[in-house]
Amino acid sequence: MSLDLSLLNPLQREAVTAPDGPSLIIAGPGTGKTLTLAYRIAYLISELGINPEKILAVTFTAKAAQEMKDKLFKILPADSSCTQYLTHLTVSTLHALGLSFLRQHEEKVGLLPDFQILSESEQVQLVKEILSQRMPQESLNRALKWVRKISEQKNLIGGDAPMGLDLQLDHAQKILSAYEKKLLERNVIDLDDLILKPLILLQEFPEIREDYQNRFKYILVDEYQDLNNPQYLLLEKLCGPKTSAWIIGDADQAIYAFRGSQVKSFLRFQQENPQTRRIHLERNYRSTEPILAGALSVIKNNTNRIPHNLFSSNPDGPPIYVFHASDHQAEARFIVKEIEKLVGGTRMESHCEGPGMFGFSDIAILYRLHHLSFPFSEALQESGIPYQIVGGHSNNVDSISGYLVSILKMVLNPHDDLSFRAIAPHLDKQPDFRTVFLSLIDRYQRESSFVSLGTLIKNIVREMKIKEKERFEWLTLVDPFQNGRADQQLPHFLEYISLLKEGETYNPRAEAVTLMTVHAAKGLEFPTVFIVGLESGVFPCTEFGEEPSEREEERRLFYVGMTRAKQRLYLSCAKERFLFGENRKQPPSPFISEIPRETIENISVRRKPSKPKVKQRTLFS
Amino acid sequence: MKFIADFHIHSHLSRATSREMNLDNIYKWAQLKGVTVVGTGDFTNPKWFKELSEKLEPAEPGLFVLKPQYRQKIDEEIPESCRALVRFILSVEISSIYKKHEKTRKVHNLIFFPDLRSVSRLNAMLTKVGNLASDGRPILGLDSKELLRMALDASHETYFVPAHVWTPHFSVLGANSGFDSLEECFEELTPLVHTVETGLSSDPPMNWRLSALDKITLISNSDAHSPDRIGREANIFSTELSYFSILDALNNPEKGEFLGTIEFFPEEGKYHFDGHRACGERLSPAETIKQGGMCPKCGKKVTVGVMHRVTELADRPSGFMPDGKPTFKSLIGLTGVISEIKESGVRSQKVQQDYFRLLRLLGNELYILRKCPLASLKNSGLNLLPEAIDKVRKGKVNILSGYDGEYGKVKIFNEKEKNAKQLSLF
Repeated sequence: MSLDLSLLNPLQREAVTAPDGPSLIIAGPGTGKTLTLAYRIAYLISELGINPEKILAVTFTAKAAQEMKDKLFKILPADSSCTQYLTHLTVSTLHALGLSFLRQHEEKVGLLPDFQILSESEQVQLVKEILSQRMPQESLNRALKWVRKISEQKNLIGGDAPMGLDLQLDHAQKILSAYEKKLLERNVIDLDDLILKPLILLQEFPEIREDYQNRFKYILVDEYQDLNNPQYLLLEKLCGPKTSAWIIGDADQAIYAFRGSQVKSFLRFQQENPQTRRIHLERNYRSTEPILAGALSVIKNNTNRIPHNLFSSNPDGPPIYVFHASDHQAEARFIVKEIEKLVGGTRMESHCEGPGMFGFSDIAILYRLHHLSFPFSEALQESGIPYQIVGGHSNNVDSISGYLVSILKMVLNPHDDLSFRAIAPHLDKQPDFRTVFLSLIDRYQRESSFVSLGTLIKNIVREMKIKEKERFEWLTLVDPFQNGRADQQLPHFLEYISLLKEGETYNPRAEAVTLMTVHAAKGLEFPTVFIVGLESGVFPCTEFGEEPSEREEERRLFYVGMTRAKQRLYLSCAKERFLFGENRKQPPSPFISEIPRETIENISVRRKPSKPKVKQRTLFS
Repeated sequence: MKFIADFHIHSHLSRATSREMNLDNIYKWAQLKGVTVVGTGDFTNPKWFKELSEKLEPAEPGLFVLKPQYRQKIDEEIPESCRALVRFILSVEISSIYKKHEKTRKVHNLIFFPDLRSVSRLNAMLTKVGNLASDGRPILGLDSKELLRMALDASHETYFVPAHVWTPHFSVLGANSGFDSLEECFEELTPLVHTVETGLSSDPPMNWRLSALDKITLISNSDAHSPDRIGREANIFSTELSYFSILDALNNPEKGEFLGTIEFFPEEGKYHFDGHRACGERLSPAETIKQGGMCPKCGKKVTVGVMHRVTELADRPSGFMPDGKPTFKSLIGLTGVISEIKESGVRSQKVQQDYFRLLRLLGNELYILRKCPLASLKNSGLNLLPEAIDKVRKGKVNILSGYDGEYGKVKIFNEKEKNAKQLSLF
């Protein structure tokens, strides 16, 4: 039995069956990008008889890698032997791939075996140490900003000039080298090193480079638009003269400039490989016509873009709904009401008429910044509607999960002073808690030799009084590490979560309304999407700058948000919003006015004027 | 002993319930109504759970009693004619809203436990799934089958009963967001479901039309949101007063310890017929089919009611009666009866005064409606009462069917009858 390509449209089929040599597939949102990539891999294995060992597929997230493998099992002909040796196929993120390179050759880049990966909170601790020695006048609160600057600096290799560097180059260099020295002393690396060190490895050791080049004859890259420069270079090094590179992405969906990826490099691949075959996938299977029409007319305002069209397969659908609220609470109330209608009422007493065909898991509330989620989670909590908040915590010192990571690291190694210093600020309230805490760690360490990791974390979460919502999220993450003793699984678990990106904690099986940033929604789709907080200054967000290039990045982000919606898209804004510690009055986002009027329906809500609430401020302060 | 049980009520911590729904009033009204075993409702709610733990103490196996210090004061308020023992059974209703087989399902289920420790175990599990605090009847994004599994994990002595199974929007067999069979919902766990609640809009004969329900025991409960509605539907037992005897009677109806149910006239229920409430359109199932399922006034989809849905899933003709089923009795609330005689609103002072006078004089409400000799009713001061009650007991009443959330309207006497009766008295 051969691979069934009948599910694909002609252009997808062309992409899947492309002959050897470089191919660039530009795949707009909802055009079957993941499917096309999966079929390409399946085609290589089952039709061309390529040994899966020779294939490397690079995904953006670990979750996408797992999903890709699952998909391959489904589409490969069941009677073939292909599925049996599918385990030899490498589907991986670049970071995980980099880590595997380093684990094989750590001595070549100056690392000792069992080197560890630093979390962001530990980076902050390190940087605080350096700052207090070298720049005592610099506020320690700026440590996190310095961590980001260091990362920016490290990634500036092979071309681009430093972006908006407002610090003195000299200082930056000194701090960077002090930081690097400290990493080396402790035998630790940061996330950037997972790309940079393998890059050095491949550059300086031709025999290793050739080894890998000979191993991977076919390299496939997903989400190509979000590669930063070092990642691009790493891939370039992996591609030997006989390698066939097949890359797929969408420049309009490049939303990680802050991680160093840039639209203008999108065509670099084609420029450097002039014989590249370019295929545009433009048939959208996800969104209705009005949603696509709206999204396209927004993205067309970007000057820095590769022209790319989209055609809907679903001409019928309601218009894009726009709601102007008086303040963030009115906005949240409106959305809760609307959700109740979408699921056809949540209670018998208040049964309301509405489309009614949606479940909670069909609905997402997307926002530009996590700070915006609060009124919505509060209103949902009040209404009793189940919801999940995705992300909201990088491994930041101040977030609960960063706190938990540090505790777990101390359980693994009680002398981990970096972790302890990350935790210490949380302990100051009672003078003797420090000793109590250390004895707790001691107990957890003993426990870890006979309980499962899940039990250990549950105990910690309970005794350290970590909040409910995050607790659930954590426990689902632990699932794959439940076999065996906690102390054996803990190192693997910590490595796994250090490689997680935002959005990977999203649980699609949860019957709950999903709240997440637009960034985290990348690659996902929902029958109904609410994009909230659409105000000038908030989305487009001007917190990080107002350059035209940043405006275009924001617009791409909005485009990504809009194109997550399959059937219904709601856009909402509030005249007044409490954000960053102040009540802000902002006009609606200019992006809304970029949508043609005929695809929009303005919703107005008739309601009695509500009594002004005075307690709002205290809730936030 | 012989006793009446109402397993499904809600506390004041559920949405749209009376503030009066606290343990004191439930205890009081159970006696006024003649209900011996009453559900606590809402045990997943942290506040209610705390109150249950504080104010109740174990009585007979698996049942609870209000502690004496809380009981005494209320007992004094209760007419001697109605005073009786009241037992609580730990219960909750959970609203599961989830997707299965690409459709949104909304199913309400009742869960019972014989002890508070099992309750807190289940509560701990459900806390991880959703928000238990905001509503006494929590909405969870949890598959009914998964909920049943979790209840069993909390205690193998749990009892699990799908609630008002025919209600269009929120039930396991409902037309809008239910399933076509219990199996489709509970899969391999279906054999663990022994009992279903029929809801106000259906009575046992409607359920008998489905051979799929032959092995299922049918119970009826008030789903009361205010104290005076307790016992409007209920169950009659003749067994020992204990959680385990009640379960045994329900699981083995052939023993004859579950005597049957007290019912609404199903037409009086809010979803008996089809229709569109906003337009005031009441349709029989046949009319709905003729209209193509659309409201004749506005052309929107009508809400398909219980009668229609039963007809859809039935494999037997109307009127079929299987052997060996417990009996049932359809009744109308006493205030409804008085209200018609007095031609005054159910909650009017006139009616309420007579209601409490009758309770003091004759005994609890269910006794008056079911058992009280007609001769005794003659001394009630309400001349039409004996005949009205007699007509109710014999089912000789006229009802305009309820539809799309609108209760049905009951008339015991037609105008002519009533005028004649009034005249003949003088």
